Amino acid sequence: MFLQVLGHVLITSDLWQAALQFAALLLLPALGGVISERSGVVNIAMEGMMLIGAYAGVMVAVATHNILLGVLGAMIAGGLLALVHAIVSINFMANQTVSGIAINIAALGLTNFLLPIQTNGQGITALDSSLRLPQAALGPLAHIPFIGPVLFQQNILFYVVVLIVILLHFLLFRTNIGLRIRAVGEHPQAADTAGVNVRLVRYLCVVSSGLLSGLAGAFLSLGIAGIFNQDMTAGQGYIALAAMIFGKYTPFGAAGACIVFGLGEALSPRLQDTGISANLLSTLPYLLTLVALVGLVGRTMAPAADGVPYEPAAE
Amino acid sequence: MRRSGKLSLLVSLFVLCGVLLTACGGGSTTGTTSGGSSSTPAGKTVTLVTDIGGINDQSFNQSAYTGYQKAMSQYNFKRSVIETQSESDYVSNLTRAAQSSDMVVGVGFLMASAMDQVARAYPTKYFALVDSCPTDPKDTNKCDNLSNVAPLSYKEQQAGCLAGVVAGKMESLGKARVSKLQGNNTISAVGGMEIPAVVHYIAGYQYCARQVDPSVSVKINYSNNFQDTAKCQDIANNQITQSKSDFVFQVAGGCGVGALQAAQAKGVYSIGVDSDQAHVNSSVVTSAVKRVDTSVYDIIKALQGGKFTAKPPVFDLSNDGVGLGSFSSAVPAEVQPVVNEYVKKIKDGSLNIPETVQ
Repeated sequence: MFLQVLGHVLITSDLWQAALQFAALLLLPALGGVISERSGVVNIAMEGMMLIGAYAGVMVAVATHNILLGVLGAMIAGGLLALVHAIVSINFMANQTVSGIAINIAALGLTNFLLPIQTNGQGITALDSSLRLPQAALGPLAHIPFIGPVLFQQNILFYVVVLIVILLHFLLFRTNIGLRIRAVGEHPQAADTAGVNVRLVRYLCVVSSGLLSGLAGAFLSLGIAGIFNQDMTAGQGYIALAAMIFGKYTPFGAAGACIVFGLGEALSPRLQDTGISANLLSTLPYLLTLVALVGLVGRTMAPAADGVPYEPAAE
Repeated sequence: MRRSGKLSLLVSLFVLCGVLLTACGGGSTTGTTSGGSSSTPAGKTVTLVTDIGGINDQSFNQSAYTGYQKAMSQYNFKRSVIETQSESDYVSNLTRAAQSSDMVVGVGFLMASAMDQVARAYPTKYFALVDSCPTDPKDTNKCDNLSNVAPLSYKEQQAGCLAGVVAGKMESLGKARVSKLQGNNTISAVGGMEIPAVVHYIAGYQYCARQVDPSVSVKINYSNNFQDTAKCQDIANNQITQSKSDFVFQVAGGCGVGALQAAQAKGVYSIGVDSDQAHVNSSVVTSAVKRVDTSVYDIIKALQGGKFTAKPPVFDLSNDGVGLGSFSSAVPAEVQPVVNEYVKKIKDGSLNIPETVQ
């Protein structure tokens, strides 16, 4: 019975369409994590940066009646929060995990505090369709059976995410800039000696992680949901963190991990017809992760200087 | 290490900022005793401990807060609200509340065993618990009858039933009168978790929809989540496109708002929960309403009048504890008389609605 339903569900395009959407949403903050940690700064604040991005995106879009400004607002909000993390962990060399937790709590508190003020306690109304990131069917490609709905009938930001993964992979592993980022994360002293500005690289990487997480927030509030809700990120920033590690700190690895998580998330409600408890099924993404970790991924190594503040030798 | 003094100071400040902001969200420290005229002595103090959703969740926490505010202005006690951030904080939040005030109002089934523990530790304080009785931590299915805890319970199945009547009647009217029907005679519900309050709503919805339209099928899924808007959106999308559901009843708080949004995007109907959610979008035809505000106000009123009871009445249609929200313009005129008929049947006891999904 279970296998029958599973087999049936696995061949529906509806499942894969949802799985890839969840995956793309998770992937943005995961990529943010990759770029930040590759440069040697532990970043667990994607959850908070995503939430503040989701909030700012809606508020800016409503205030300016402009969806692009909304997306920009979301990214800037995420970036600003990341800047705080950068200052605290790079300049003041504070514990990066503590700073990340503080940012997550602060973002939740801040949005909970601001929302009722801006909506007179009413809670926000759904966004007008003109203020939402639209679903975009890619011409004739969208009509291919199965593949069409899965890959080419997604939200417009989905395609942006696909582009970003490829670009980020190229940037990190095929360019000079990428080499510098990785050098700073592996051996900052050596990079410094070679003339790389360690702090500047780290600043840029951490802020980029905020921009990407903020964009994920916009994807969630302006794209998928069309509304802002308290705590609507619901821990996805943490799952993204797991995806980053699971993906061995590489863009494509993170993408693979996010697809596994996304599939688990999309599968669990669709298997409820088998009579298996919904509670049990909700553990599916995590079980899949464990299986994949043990069976496929093996040992993951963080960048050598990840989480270690860099203090230049005294002149 | 020369920086470490400055450094730790900075980190502590930063963490403090975060915590303060969170606290501000709940405003737990800002007393706003209004009036303060000497003629009205301040009433007994009451602290509200919300569940994770917080006082702006547009759902039961917010409703509890509305009742709390009403009582606060009536009885002139100092505002004291603790918004729970994590399930592991229930005991400490309830304890903090019990230490600082005469009565603690806890919101949510999930804190039932924490409430039991704290109420036993503070036998001289009064407690009220929205959505549940206090339960023994060893057997969470069993009510623990404590003389200082008032369980506030509701017949959600009655509100769910009326929502089911609306959906069932509209299904049976057919496409000629209800334009957005997909023609598969199917309705659905997205539940947050399989906990009693949620299951009651859905059980009533299913039962009464079938009473009105015996051929209707009812698809039910759970998100296992009350916050993740995208998750409920996906589940509702699936119900609408795969099962051809015409009505999505959300019983999942903030997560469920995503289900309302999915109905709007796919051009079908939806039904809100707990409070009137007509303002969310135009797909909402009505809402199954639970007057948590009334019950919270009533129990605080009883305390202030020296009439606290550990056995308050169950809130149902007869005392306006549950009901339906406003109807949208999509609801045909034929629906109201049927709803009235069911209200009458429920009130006179001739309709017995099951508490579990069939």
